[in-house]
Amino acid sequence: MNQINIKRTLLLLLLPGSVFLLFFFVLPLIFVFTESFHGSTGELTLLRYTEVLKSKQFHFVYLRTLKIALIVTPLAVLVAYPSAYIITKMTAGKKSVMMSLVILPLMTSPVARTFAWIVILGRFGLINQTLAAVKVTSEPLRLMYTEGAIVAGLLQLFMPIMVLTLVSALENIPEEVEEAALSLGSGKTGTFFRVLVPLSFDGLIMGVTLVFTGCITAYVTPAILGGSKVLTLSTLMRQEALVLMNWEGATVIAVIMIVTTLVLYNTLRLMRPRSL
Amino acid sequence: MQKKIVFLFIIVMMFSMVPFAFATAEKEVTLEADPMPFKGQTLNLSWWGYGMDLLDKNVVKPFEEKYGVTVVSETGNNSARFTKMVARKGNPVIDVALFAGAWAYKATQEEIIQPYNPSLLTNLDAIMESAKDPLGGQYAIGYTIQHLGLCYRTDKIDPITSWRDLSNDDLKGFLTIPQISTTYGPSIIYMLSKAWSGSFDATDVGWQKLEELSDNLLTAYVRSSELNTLILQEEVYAAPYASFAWGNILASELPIKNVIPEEGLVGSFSVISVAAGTKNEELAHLFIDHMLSYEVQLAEAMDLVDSPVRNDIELPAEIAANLTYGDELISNLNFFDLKEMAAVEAEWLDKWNAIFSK
Repeated sequence: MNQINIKRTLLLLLLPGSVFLLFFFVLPLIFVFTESFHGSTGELTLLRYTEVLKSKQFHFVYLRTLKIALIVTPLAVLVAYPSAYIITKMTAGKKSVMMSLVILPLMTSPVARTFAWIVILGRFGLINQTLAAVKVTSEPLRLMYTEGAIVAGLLQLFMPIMVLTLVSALENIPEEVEEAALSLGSGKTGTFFRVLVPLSFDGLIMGVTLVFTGCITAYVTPAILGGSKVLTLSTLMRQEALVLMNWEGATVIAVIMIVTTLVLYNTLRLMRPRSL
Repeated sequence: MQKKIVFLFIIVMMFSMVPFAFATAEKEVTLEADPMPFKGQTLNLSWWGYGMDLLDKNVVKPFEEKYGVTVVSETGNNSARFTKMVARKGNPVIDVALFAGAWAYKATQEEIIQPYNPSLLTNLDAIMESAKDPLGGQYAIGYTIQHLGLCYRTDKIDPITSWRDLSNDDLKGFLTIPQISTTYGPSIIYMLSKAWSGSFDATDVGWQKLEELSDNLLTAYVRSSELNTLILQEEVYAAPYASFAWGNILASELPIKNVIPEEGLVGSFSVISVAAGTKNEELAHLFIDHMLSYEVQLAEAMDLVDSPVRNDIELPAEIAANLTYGDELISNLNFFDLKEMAAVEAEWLDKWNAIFSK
């Protein structure tokens, strides 16, 4: 009887969140999916997909977006894993300071953050001035409005998310596990790669999915740092929706974005170590 | 006897004037009783909201105080506001809508604006002839005139005298132009066509020149604020600019000059329309008339917000220099067909993306 009551209470607690998600996420998502398979007179058709998928520009923009996401995500993992590991080893006080520092960029507006990059990457920005001062370059390099600028902006934008996810995953690993591995002769590097990484793999999958999805869907950073010469999927989708009023075309791009993310997520799930 | 006849005639005339006297008195009484016939009503406006403090001072507050109404503004760029109005077409909220460029034409196609009633606009006769009905069908009135100018850094590059000069070698990597989807984006193709072929209609030439020019482009800007940043950060040395941004460009205090190139400049109107299906049609017309009034047009010009379309506005030279004003400048403006621009929009956006996706 008690168990039934607990189940009921749990269901009731889940209800507000589930209703919210149902109305503001699941139903709109279903609407987007179904709408993308309907023609102008309401008939079922793949025409919209074939139109978008046939377009050479779409291929180019899709591959560019994928390339950027596939550069940013591993870079974020490489930079965030050691940082997250060191943070988990800190005392409570230091950890709290470090976590605040990690969260700080998330508290500033993406627009302000992105404009700061203009000051850094501009023709007379910090990087070009430094390179000129140490006589590495005689002419300022073109750093703004390039794919490189987007990569830098997205890495800064999503790194805190990767660090937070990994800190949370690494904190759940009991300290004894690491100690046991070390006492059994595994070196620090071996323990990190053979014990800590597999045990924090779920957190890694979550972090990679969030960062990859963020890179695929980010709008402000690619729009400002890439400009109109470096289109990505999100800037292309905006063009379709808000310039051409081609909501159907924008819907297809949105579905392709979602499918791309789902494929990555499930591929990573399959790569999960079997013993876990 | 004659005196009696004259007396009688005067009496008859006096009595015959009585109804008129009462009518006048009645009219005066009505006006006295209701000097604000729209008092307490709300007018919903859809406009950009740029420089809202000045718009409030020059346009909204005087209108609210004069007529006792409340003005509610829905602000945003053309596309966002257009989308909202289309979505609410069945149950319109907006009474007066302001649009620019091809969006105004698209608004007529989507039937979110309706023709105005000239008899309700006392100021219509006072404005430029070309501003009275720029879309045809009396769908909109140009309440301000603007132009796309050309400016360059006098200390960095050779003087610019033609749109052809955008291809000069000293501009490689130091040039920006409005993106094709912006109000003035398509005009670049027309001006390049004119500059290189002598005809606005030879747009193939314009596209070919844009492709050649793409290497010179640092980027293409979407908002005038972006252009300001590019100029301020000394990222670009030349650019076509929207006239309403000139004040901010000058504020950079860099050695920048604007020119009237030999092919001329691009002119356009920002238009104001009665929203289709509005329940406040008379009030909407009253606001449009207010926007065209001498007081509002002068105040907006003096604050460098909008260039006037009224023929009777006289501006001091220092103000006029920053606006689309004066016979020389206005006679050099080229106005392009918004209908044609809307028709080729998708094709031209594809062409643009193809050039920059290489």
